Amino acid sequence: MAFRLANATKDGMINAFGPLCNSGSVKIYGPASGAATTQPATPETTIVSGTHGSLLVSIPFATTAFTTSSGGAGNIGLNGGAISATVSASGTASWARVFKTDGTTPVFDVDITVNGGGGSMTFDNISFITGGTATINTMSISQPM
Amino acid sequence: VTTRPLVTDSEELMPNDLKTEDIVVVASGTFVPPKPKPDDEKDKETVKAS
Repeated sequence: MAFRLANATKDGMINAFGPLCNSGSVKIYGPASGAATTQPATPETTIVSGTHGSLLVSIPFATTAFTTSSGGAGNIGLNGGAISATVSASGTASWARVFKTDGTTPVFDVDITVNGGGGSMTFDNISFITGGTATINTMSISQPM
Repeated sequence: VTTRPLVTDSEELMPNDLKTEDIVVVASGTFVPPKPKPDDEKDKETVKAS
C-alpha cells in the first residue's frame, strides 16, 4: 500500500521549512585554490577550514525568505526573487550551509557544482574571486509526493 | 476492536505508485567576477608623464 501525503500535509510540511530561513543566510564554502574540500557529514558538523574549506561568501535571505505553498503544490521558492552578495574570499565554491537568522544555527547543507554537474545548487562559474558577485537566482524546496 | 479497512480506494492497487521522497532543494546561481582595475589607463598616464 503506497504512502501518500495529503495536499494539506505537503503544504504544511514545506511551509514549516521556509520560515526557518527568514532573515537567514546561505554561506558558501570551498578551498582557496584547487585543494580538495569535503562537504561536512551533517549540517551539525563543525566546519574545519582545512577539511571543509573556507567561507567565500554569505548571501542573506529576505526577511520572509520563501513563498508559501498552497493547493498541494508542496513547493516554495525565493520570496522577492534573486539574492546576492559580494564574495569575500577567492576559492572554488563546493558546498553551502543555510543558517537561521542567528547566523549559527544550521538549517540544511547542499552541495555545489557548476551547471550540469548534478549539484543541488549550481552556478555558471564556481571559481569565485574576491570582489565578485555571487547571485542565487532561484531556489526551490519541494516535497514531491 | 477496531478493524482497519483493507482497501480504501482502487488507486491504491496501481503497480506504478511512487514512494514518498525526501524534500528536494534545487538552486541555481551565477557568479560575476570583479571588473578589472583600469591598469591600462594608469599605464598610459605613466608613459605621458615620462
